[in-house]
Amino acid sequence: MKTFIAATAAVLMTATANAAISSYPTYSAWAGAVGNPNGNVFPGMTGNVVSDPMDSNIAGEDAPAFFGSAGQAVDSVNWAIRASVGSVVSTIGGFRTSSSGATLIMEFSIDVPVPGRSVQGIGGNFRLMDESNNFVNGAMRVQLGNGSAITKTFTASSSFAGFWSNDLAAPITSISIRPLSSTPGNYRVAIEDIYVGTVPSPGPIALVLTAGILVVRRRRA
Amino acid sequence: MRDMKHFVGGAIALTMASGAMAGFTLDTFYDYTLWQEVGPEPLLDAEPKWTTDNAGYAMAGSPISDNAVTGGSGWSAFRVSPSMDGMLSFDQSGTYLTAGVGHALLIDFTAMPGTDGSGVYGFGGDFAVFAPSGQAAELDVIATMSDGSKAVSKPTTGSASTFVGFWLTSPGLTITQVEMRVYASERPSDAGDFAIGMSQLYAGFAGPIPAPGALALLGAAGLIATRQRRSN
Repeated sequence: MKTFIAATAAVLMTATANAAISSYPTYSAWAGAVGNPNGNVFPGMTGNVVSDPMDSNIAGEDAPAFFGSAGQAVDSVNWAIRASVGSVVSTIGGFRTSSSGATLIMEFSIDVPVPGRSVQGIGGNFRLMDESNNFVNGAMRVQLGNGSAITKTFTASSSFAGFWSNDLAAPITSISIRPLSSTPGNYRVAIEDIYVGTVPSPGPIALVLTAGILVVRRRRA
Repeated sequence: MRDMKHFVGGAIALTMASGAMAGFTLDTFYDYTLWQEVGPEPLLDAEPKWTTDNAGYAMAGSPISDNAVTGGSGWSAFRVSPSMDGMLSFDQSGTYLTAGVGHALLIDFTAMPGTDGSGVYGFGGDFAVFAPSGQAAELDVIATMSDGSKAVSKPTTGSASTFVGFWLTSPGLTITQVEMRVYASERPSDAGDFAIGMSQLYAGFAGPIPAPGALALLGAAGLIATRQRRSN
């Protein structure tokens, strides 16, 4: 057992020694990041991306929070969305805050316990909306729970922002979208689509497999 | 099964311990105007108050000495060099400093951080990618910080140049080195066939504003020193 724990420790330390967040301004760069030899995000691994285009929304519903999921069955990731002030309003294909100046907060969780599977990547299309629900160009900050952020001008042709965390011990649990102090007072932040990247982590998977082998051997003995 | 419980508990403790090795907290920008205007906003909004400054340096015409370009002064002192076996040179227009095909540009900020935690908290630059023929290619670039944090930036269609910049938004760590290389997200296996070039380098400073008490102390010390000199 001692040998086993030492080996596990080595695997986990290797997996988390280079904890860092990577930021991407385009979907193609984000979706292709895992395993890309130039990006060093989980080299040699394959990421799994699920999405929720939020296209089944009934526009105009107003609630303190909305809930949904991206992907299906064992691939699914649950999300919950709320606002820092006021409520959340559903739009055609997305959600926005009811109040100008408020932050949209989206949290993620996984129901189906697949060993080692965690949310390591988040991306989405984000926009500002005016009081008439028209998209307008403007700058926002999209921020992870750990403080890492992308600040950029979101437009129809450049609405994506995404992240990968290469720290398997620090999965992504939330994302927030907020206007900058310079954003016009009548604008509200909105989200159109969400993409969630999960990565199997070799450390815990190896741990569970090895534990399974040990249990089987003991039973046989 | 009891052994298994102990085992899983041990593994969770190990995972949490290794997860405590935090990296930089970065705000990434994709246009210079926002980078300059917004700055390290979370630091500036916090108490005690911080101040910020920035400086820009054109690479065009910079002398290459010992396979490196140096510039800046005080807190913004920098050194640009190629990754191992690379060779610095300028592109055909003389605007972009390149490291050679397949090589990275390494940007080092050489000034020591202040004892109060001040120093280089911001970095930005205008970058382009060149084929061996010298022709500009619309490929994305990747910036890597010394802690492994990364940002990919892609030129807008029809433009060879792309801006990517960061501000550190947590106090304590300053930027010491940034590595810039070709990323080529849509054709990653070709990335090594291109050269990255930098036309403009931006450095950002942040540091705590001295408390009024400390300023008064400095002023009093200055007055005393002046009086002593006069009386001598």
